Amino acid sequence: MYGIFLINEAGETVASMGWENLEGDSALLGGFVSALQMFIKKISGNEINELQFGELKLLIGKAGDNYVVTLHAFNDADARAHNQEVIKFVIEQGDNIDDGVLNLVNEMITQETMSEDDKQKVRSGIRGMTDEAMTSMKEWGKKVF
Amino acid sequence: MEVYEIAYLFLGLATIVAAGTIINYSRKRSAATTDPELKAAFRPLYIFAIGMIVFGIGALLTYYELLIQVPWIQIPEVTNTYYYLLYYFTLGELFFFVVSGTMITKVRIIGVFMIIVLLIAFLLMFNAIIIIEAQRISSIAQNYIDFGYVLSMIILGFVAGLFTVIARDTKRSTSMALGFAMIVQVLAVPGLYNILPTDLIVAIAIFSLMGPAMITFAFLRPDQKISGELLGYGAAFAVPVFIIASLFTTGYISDITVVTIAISGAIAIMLTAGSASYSYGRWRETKQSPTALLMVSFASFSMGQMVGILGSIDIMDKGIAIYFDLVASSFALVLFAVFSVLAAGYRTTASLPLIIYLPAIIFTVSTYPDPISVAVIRWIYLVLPVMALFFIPVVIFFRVWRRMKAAGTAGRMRPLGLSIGLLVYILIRFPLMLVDFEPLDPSYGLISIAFFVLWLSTTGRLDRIRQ
Repeated sequence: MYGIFLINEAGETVASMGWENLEGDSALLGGFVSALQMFIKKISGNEINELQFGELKLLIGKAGDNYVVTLHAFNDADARAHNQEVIKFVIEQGDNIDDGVLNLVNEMITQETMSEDDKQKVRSGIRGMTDEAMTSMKEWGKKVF
Repeated sequence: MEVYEIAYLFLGLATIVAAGTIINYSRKRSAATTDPELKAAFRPLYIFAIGMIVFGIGALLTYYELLIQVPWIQIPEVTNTYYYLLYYFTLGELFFFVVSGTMITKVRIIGVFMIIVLLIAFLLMFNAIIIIEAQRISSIAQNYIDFGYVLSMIILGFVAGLFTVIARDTKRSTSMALGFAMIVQVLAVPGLYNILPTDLIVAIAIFSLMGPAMITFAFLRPDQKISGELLGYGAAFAVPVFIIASLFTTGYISDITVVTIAISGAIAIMLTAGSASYSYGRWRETKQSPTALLMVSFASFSMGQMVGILGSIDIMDKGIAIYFDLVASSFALVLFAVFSVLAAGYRTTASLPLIIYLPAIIFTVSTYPDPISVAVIRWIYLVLPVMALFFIPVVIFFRVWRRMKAAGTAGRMRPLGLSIGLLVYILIRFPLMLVDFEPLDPSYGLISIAFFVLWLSTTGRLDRIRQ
């Protein structure tokens, strides 16, 4: 998760983290999301919940009257789950949220104990070991039975 | 003592015998080769067999402690410490299994992991005993022991999985039997006995007895492919053992007549279940429908005999058991009639015995719960033709034998054996069935003679004896 933005009903960005991954002013995002949701609601009756641009995507969810916008890599498989976790956290915390809290939330949610490479190594190690064991077992079975 | 407690005696003995057959098999096979690599391949099997012997000894000692009501591992003022010794013996068994499994898989890390699991299980029991010594009763201690059982089950599951994979690959009954024995031992871990109802424990005890029996049969005939035949051989051992164990719990063990009849009856079950398994094996090879009929017929005899005896010694409802036996035994005989008609080449008339039999048995069963004698007399006009049907195979097989003898054909003892066996069965079983014996009908024991002749003839042993 690259960024979290909390936007109130008036379109103000209440708290944010990770804006450095984008360019411009974070305050503009609040106005844009709020205006976009208003427009989409007017023409379709629904709200938009995902925006994708280049290598990034924005997930937009509602936490009470506020919008929770999270920024992810376009192929992040856990994006939806992370977005939901942030929404849950914001609902629980109410108004006591600032940039520092969002940074903490991000760390809590996306904290990886192991990098993807390491995970891959463990997986292939286990697979290799199982294959070796299976081959030995079958060879032994053929010799003995 | 409960049936499953007595079963430990037989489980211990059967496990040691099974280990003996594994060692014997490994010894013969490795002696037959000069290849040192192939010789070395049998080492895991030896180690596995040692593990089984350890468990067998543990089971025997457990039987002994339950018998004398004095646990081996004693804690002052705590009485219920049975099975604690078996726990340690099981861990000993598992140690050998893990070593054997690691040698087979050649992956040391699995072995190290399993040994750590074993060590934890060992410490759990050790700590549990210390807690019990301090507090007498403790749910924490019980949790420790239960968790230890779970760890044992994990290792047994690993070994079971190992042999199942090998069985799937080699299609050999030997590895299938080893896998099955490990799976049923998972079920028979004493920890489960505290939470399961008695009926289920009894069923588990029978299954766990089947394990070593299947290993023994499989390693005595190691060239067998995976087959349900092996399950039949396992049952041929487990069910009679269960009947004998039941004599202890019901108190009939002091009645020498009942014991003699029950043991002879148990032998009869072994013979019929063995014959059924043999016929199944033959049917798998030939796919001949008369052989399948023979198999069903022997299985039916076996079931009738088992339920009949269990009912008579108060393990089941006697009334239902006797009627079940009547249906199963008569059905088996009618199938024999169908079998003989088919074997004589009359395909179209082969279903005739069944058509005559079905209404007769339905009306007879409808007389339940009156005694069998009342039922037979009430429906005598239906029963008599059925009785005549029972003699069809006797006559046909006898005529076949005479014809074969005249022609000097080989294998002629088979029809003669079938004819004599069935005649002996009918003459012993049905007249005595009409008399009410308390508690056990002696014909259950006497018919083992008939089944012995049938077994000799079905498996072709009679011809070999004649030669």
